[in-house]
Amino acid sequence: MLSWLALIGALICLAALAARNLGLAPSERAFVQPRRLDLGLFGLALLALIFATRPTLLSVLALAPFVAAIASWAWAFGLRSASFVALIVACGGLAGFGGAEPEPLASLAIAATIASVAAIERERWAIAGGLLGYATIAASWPGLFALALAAKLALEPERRRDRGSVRALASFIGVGLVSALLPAHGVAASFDLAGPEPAGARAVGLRWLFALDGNLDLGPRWLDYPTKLEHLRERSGWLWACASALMVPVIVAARRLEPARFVAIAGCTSLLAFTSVDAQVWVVVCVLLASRATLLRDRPLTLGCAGLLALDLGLRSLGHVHAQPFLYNVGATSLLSLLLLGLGVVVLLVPALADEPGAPR
Amino acid sequence: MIAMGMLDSLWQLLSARDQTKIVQFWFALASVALLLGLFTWRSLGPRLRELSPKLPPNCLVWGRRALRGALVIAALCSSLQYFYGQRNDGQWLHRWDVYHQVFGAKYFAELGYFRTYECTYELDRAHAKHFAKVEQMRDIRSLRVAKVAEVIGEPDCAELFTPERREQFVADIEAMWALEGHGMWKSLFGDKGFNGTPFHAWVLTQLLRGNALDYWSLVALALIDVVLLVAAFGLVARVWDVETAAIAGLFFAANFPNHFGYMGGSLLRFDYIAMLIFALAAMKRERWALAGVCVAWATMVRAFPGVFALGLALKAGADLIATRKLPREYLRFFVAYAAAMLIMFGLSLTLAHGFDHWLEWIANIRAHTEHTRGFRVGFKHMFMLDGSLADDANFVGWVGKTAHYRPRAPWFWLAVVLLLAPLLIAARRLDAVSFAALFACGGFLLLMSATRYYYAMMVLPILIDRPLLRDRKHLLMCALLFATAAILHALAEVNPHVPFLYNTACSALFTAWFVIVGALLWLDPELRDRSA
Repeated sequence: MLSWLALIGALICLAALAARNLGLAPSERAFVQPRRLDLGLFGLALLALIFATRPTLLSVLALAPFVAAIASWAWAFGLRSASFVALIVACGGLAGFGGAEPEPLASLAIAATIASVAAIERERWAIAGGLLGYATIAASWPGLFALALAAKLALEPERRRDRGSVRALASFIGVGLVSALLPAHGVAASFDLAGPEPAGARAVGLRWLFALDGNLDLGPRWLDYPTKLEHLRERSGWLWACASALMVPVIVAARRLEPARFVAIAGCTSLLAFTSVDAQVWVVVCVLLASRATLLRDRPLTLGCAGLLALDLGLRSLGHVHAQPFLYNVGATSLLSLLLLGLGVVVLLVPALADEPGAPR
Repeated sequence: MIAMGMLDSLWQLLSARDQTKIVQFWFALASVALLLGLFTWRSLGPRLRELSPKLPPNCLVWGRRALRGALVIAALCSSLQYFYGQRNDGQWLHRWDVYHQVFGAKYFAELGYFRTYECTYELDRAHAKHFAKVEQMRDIRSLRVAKVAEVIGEPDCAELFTPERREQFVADIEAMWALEGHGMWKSLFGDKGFNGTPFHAWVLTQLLRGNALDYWSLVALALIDVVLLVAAFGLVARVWDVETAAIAGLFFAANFPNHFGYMGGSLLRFDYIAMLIFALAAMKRERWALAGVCVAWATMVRAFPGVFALGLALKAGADLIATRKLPREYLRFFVAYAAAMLIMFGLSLTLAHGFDHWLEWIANIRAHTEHTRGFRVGFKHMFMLDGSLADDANFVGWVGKTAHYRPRAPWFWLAVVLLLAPLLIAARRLDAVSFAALFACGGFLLLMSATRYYYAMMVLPILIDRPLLRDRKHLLMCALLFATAAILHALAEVNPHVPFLYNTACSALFTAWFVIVGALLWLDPELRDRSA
């Protein structure tokens, strides 16, 4: 009952957001910019051309990847989990994560990553590899999830025996190559501390907590991004140490965690620790709900869900009093760091992220 | 010779005031590394047991002794840096605060809470005129800073004293002036006066009775705090173990807002935290009445430590509701607590104006806490994040922050309930010592907006009733506490904006720590290492 209610609520949110988009002037509609839509798959590119003059249908079309991702999540993890993922995607993704304006360029990559975690849960290695292959070419950062998948498969000899890893690798390379041949304008992730964009006002990444000099809002004593990057270069040793420390819990738990859960946690943690991405990409944090346990009955999973909802609520509240860059560089990064640090602590203490044996209920 | 040279270098490093941040940063970081190392050691338990037959005999025993020795040495070095390296100014005595404590308490009967600055200036003007260059002063009643003449108004301070007391007052001003630090007076008269409770004033009055106000007499009195803290951590060593005492001592020194220079070298500024530590030790040794007396002392001198008693009351209430019986230990605690509070309250009434002093204190504290300030830390600041947080330009002032907070108060209280919920739900499962320690710390952080130095309270969670070196949850909790200290010391080097460091960074980091502890409590209300 609860699951259905949550799902209906999510669908209402999606519909409301689509309607909101319809009510906007064409120039303000985030989805209605056919020139910018990244439809890496040839079929969708054709559809875009056909419906270029019909922005309404295009708005609806843009929801399709997320609906597909949510459907795949329901297939893998059950209706209740999918309902909460849908809520997080609806509140965060289409409305903009923490209030960030949605960027259609990232939508497909995010949806593909979410769907890939679902495919991993169902041991559809070829599908998972293919989705991650496309997403990596489109947006770079999903490569971290692909790396996590590769690491997990390498640790599990039985996967090698049943050629799961071979299938995943083959489809990753295959789909990746095909995607690379098509126009791709994904949101790049900055792996290089001294690299180019995104280093702007919507950037989220652990590195921005190492550049808290001067004014944190625009105004006097605000340090521009080249200066911030200069400071980051000087502090790169500490940054790498902290980023690596953040990864330790999930690496230690690599064998204990189920593949989907490991990929989700490792992917999200490395995304925060080692990259700087646009705020909207962080809709992908919903994959932390990757578990077959029953939500609201299993404590670790319920805690994770509460954490995600609190994250979005916290960021939206902060958005009422602060705009970018503080909102994302500092606010979103801090909240995500707390979430993933807390998750790391729990992963270290609670084997397999299940209810502890002997712990009173 | 080499050893002497090394000792000399070590002394230079630990005693240098300008090295505090870097030294305590490294102590904090080393503690994080040690605790995580111990966590790893405990996690590898089964494999180690396989290896242990192969290890030389007594290897683990000697290893533990070496660890204990290293921790004790580290704690001693850190304490040296804390008690001496973090001294307030060129000399160890905290003249600024000593003035407030001495004049605020000794002349409490004549001046109350609101006339200390005014009468110090006025009576000095009629004699040595030491403060002639002071142009502005704070009116402590309204907290407004104005020209001296406006604050003083009609000179009437002489009438408040008997001739003998007036003569003594003037002599004490001379004694304070003789302690040097003449430059401090311009700023000192802009501070906010003496804010101790009437009982605190009574205690100070007894201490100062018959004592001259010369440098060494005041240092002797100021050393009471050091003695109390050493005794407290010594008791921790006895009741818990040496390692826990050393780690608690390391954190006490490294804890960023607990800088010794803010209050150290003054009179009875750390008695409250020493008493709370004594209380926890007494509870662990089943001496509940003694614990009640200690908490009563802390409450009567500072008021906010009452949150410790509140926590225990909630635990007792939970047990009463569940079992329909109040365990005897809680009864002993609260009877002793109430009786001690009554006695101390009675003693405070022997001051000149009796109960009126308490009414005046309440009015003073109300004005004092109406708005936050740059040195305050507390969860409430997460609801006052408007404006520029790290720069004076576009900074929303204190009145503005209060105005922004008021409509958000319901959300604040909802958040407090949610954050305290895991701990409250665990009330029946957690032992009394652990619950009291966690609630005192968490309740203080969430419910109050206190000046930075009172965050010595953050040492209490280290003293939960768990074997620190063997319980992995406790090890991680302590590691995270040290991490907050390291981060804050590093941040202070990068962005020294005071309101940003305390209102925002400190508050956010301590809240984040408490959120993680809450998550652990939610997963296991007994907070036990289940891997053992």
